Amino acid sequence: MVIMSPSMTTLDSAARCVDLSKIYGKGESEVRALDGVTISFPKGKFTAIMGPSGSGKSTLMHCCAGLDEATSGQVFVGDIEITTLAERALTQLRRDRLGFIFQAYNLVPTLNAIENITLPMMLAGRKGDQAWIDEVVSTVGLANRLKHRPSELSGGQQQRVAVARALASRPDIIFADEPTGNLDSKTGAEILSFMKRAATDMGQTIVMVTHDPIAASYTDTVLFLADGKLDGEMNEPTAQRVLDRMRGLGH
Amino acid sequence: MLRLTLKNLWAYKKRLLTSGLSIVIGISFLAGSFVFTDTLKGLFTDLFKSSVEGVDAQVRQVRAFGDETDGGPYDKGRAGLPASLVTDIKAVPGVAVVAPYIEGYAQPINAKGKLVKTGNAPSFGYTWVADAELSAYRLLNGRAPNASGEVVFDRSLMTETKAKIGDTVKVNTVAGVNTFTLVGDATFGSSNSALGASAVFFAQEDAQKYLTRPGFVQSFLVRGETGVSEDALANDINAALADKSFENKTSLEVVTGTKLQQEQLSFVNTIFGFINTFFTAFAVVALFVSIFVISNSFSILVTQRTREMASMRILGASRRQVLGTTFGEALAVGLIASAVGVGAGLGVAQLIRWLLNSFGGTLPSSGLVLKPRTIIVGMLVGTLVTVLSAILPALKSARIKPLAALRETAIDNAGTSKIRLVFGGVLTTLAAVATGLGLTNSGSDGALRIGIGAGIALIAIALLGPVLAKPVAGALGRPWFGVIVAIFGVALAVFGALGLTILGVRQISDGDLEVGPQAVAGVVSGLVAFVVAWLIARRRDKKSSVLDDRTFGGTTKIALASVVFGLYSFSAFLGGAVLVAVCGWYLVATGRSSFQTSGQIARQNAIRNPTRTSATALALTIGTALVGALSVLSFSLTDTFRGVFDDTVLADHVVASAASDIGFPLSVQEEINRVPGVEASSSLQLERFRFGFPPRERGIGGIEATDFTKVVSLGKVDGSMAALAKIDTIAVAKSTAKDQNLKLGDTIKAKFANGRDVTFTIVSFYENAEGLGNTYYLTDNAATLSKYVENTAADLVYVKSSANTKSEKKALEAAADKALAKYPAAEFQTKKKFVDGQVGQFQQFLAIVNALLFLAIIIAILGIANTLRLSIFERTREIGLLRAVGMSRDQMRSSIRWEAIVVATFGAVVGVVFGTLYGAALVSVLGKDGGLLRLSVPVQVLLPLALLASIVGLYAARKPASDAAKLNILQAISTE
Repeated sequence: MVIMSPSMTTLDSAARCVDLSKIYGKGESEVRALDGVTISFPKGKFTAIMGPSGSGKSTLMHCCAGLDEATSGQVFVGDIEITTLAERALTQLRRDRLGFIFQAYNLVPTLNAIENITLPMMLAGRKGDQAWIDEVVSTVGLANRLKHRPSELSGGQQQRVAVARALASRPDIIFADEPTGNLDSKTGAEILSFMKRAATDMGQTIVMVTHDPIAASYTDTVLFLADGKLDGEMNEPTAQRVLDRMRGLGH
Repeated sequence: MLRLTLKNLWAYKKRLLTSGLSIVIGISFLAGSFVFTDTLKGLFTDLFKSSVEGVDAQVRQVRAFGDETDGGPYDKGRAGLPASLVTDIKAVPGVAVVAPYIEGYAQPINAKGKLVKTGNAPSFGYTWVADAELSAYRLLNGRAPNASGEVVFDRSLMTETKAKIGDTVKVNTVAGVNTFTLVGDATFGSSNSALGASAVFFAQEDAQKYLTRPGFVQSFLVRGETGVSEDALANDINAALADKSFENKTSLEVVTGTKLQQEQLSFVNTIFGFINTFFTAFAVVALFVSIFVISNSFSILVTQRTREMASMRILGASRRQVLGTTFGEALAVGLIASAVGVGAGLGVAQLIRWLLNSFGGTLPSSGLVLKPRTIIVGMLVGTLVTVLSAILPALKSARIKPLAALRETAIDNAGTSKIRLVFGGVLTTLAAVATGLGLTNSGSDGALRIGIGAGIALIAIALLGPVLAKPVAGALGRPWFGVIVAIFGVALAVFGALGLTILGVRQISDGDLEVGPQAVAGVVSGLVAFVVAWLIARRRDKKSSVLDDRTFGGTTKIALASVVFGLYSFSAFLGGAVLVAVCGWYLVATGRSSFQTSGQIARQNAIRNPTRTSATALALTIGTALVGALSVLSFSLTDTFRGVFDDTVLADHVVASAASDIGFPLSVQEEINRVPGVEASSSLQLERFRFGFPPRERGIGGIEATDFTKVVSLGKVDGSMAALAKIDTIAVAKSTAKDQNLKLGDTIKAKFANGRDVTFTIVSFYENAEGLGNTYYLTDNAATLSKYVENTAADLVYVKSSANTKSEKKALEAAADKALAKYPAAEFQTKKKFVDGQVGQFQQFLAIVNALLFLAIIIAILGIANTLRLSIFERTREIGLLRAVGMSRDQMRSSIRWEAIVVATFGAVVGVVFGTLYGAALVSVLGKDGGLLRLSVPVQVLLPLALLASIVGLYAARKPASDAAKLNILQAISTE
């Protein structure tokens, strides 16, 4: 188990956190959701964060994405330390340099598919790279569904739109929170393949929080969290190895 | 289940509170109008009752036509009975006291020669009635007026004139100004005046001379001896007078005191019936709008609680129990809101009184009258309205299938139900039929039908609103409207802030180039206001600062600070100016967002649920429709009046009356003729006579026939106006002559209001009647009218002068003022000033109507804010998502503001269009009856009215927008 030193990874990490802690409550009811975590997410890689419920994996992702404030420690996206940014700058960062895929309800119901895909860019008042958007759209196979509202799309299609949205603005890093949690295994596999291809073919950095070993098997690296602490990592994971590893953790 | 209801009430208290607020407002106006009219009516009933309480019989001359109370405050048009009858009546067995009674106009003059005004109440002159049971007036100091040349004032006049007993005082009557000795003062019961109406008491002889005519009185008040019944007394007097012969005997009437009281009471009832209707109309509008606000709130609440209800159903709650919960909640909200509303009604009544008084009324202060009827009606209406408007949502909630409900939350029912369409269609057809019928009729009949049509159409609009909402609100949400709103915002910012600067600069230029402190303060505060407003509006949010988001709270604080800073007279201005300017800048910012994604999302949200949108906008629709229609009507009346007056009146000046309800002596016209520079003049005296087929009351104008055509253009005249100089001659408008089938030289029999019969010979026909305020009959004052009507008074004198230059006009006015110095009621004015004054009455009417708009706006703000808040609650996760993927707080706020503006403007636009159409219909119908009305659509009023909605939206959205912007993103995203 090797924990890379922050100085070493600065150059090739899309995002990293240093000695990150998040504490809820005070005194006796104090809960340490994150307890001095230092991690680096390498550029162009598909990384999974795994751990049992309450291990702090979602909190880690939220803090790294600037959605939640850490109690102490630092988070960097590229060279920018986001822990000191003001609300306005954080919003801008999320809009321009981060992408998000949530478990469900990823889309704005009043906007159609293509509007949802280009939403972050439209909010920034930019047109976006049309050629790239076309490529993303055709990659996720939505070319003939672009004018449909979310309510007219299946769950799998909705999630593909969400992936396309995350990819469309070419963010530094995409955070995905159980993106296949609400899908059947076949559709889930499709989505995960897209994400893997985005990382390998397009060089997109993706960090995914999941508790599903099969989902984790699509990634390049799996980071394991337990009790708010980093508890090892696994490169080129397979579902079986991840499962074994998790059992080995005793949960 | 009761416990669940109570728990729900508690859990949703805030939301229910805001919904209940609209009911509180509606009920408080209903109760307030009841309390106000009950209180006033009580006072006036007491007044009229105490005036005639001790009277057992009244001997009077019957009016020739109309009701006994038709003579107005001064009982004009009653010829009266010979004063000598007093001995005959006194001789009747059973009669204890007889008091000759005279009522007329009398108004003291102050040291400056101006009329002493006591508010808008009439200024009475009476003969002094000594008997304490026949009059409510009591002598306080001094003695009664016994001889000619003596008067007594009531206490209110003593205070106003600051006169003392023994002083010489001047009093204006229809006979001109005369000097009297003040010999005493009197009270009305224990009050200083009879509810604000002033009173001057004369000796019998003077009262006849100045108020009616020598030798005659209006009536005799009789008190019987104890034990004599009223009926017997009246019969005996009648019998006794039957043998005598005297003038006006044929129209003599003896009524009992009870009958007299009934007459007075029904008079009070008629007046207050009207006032009550007026205020009840306010309340009905408020309640009608409240229904939609309440039902909107409940339907949203129910939708949101779908899951909760479903779990209850699964746990075994029956459909009935689920229905009962919602019902119980509505009942509780209705009861509480109604009770609060009735209580607030007392405040509203006080407010109405205060408002009327500050507009120049003189309403006495007294305890407010809260009748059980007010409480019962208020509670019943408020509770019923609430429960009824909760029925549909409650039924919907009960119909939810448990499992379906658990699966999905926040249902967006964007569809429009077929029942709505069918009902709406039927009502639209009905409205069209009623309106069409109205248009083919004329006058009040047509207006009534059009009113009914408008009422039905309004309900149709309420039903069909959702159909309109999608295209109209959708169109409004687009950038073109953003441009308009932004331009409006710039206009407001400039008007609000730079207006102050201009005011300051003008102060400098007007003040003889002296730079006063006020002027400097004006310029400085103008610029400060502009900059402050701009800074407030463009301020950006900082890291997770909560305080920062209170945009409007901050604005108010800064405005208040500015008031402190603002110095002198500009202070109050400045606060307002900053607010207006901030609104302006916000409108600019919000209008700009219509070009952006946040604006697009707002537009989609505005039309997402058309039913909800249109119900939310309805308050504004109704408010703006009313104001729109009445603006069109009043501007048309104004324009018509102005246009007709300009076209037909050749005179350049007029003499108008400064006293209310009464003219000035005819001798004013002779005085004016002697003023250097006056070329021609004629008075116009309006009287009533009964004539024609069918016989009915018509207006007749008394003029100076020789000069009349020089001051008023009568168009083409057949025959000769000069021929009116002969007695019993009349000129008739051509249109009337055609209707009545009259020819030159015909004779017509008629009767004046005082009962005198007259036979007129027609000597001429004239074309234009409009310039005379639609007077279709003219006769000469000196030759004819003064022979029939007592105490003739001119209502207007038209004056044509040779004054052309500014100095000539100044000289003319000075000379005229000098000549009229002894006629305080006569005011020499330019034609323009007179027209402005007349037109001003229509504008005052509009001001009252605007109060209606204000009420609708308050309810609209509540409604829009409430709906927005509930919608945002429903969209929590969506908002979280938008914020997560990069929507800034600014964008979120302006998105919600834009949504509110679009919804509000949708309501206003529908209302303005609807109101304008119906206003035009009314104008066309009313014009058919009394001379053509020129239709005038006041774009300068209607356009701002529609744009006003953007401010309403902006204001309503301020809290919901800031709440949405402050939502914690993580919590929002993970909301179930």
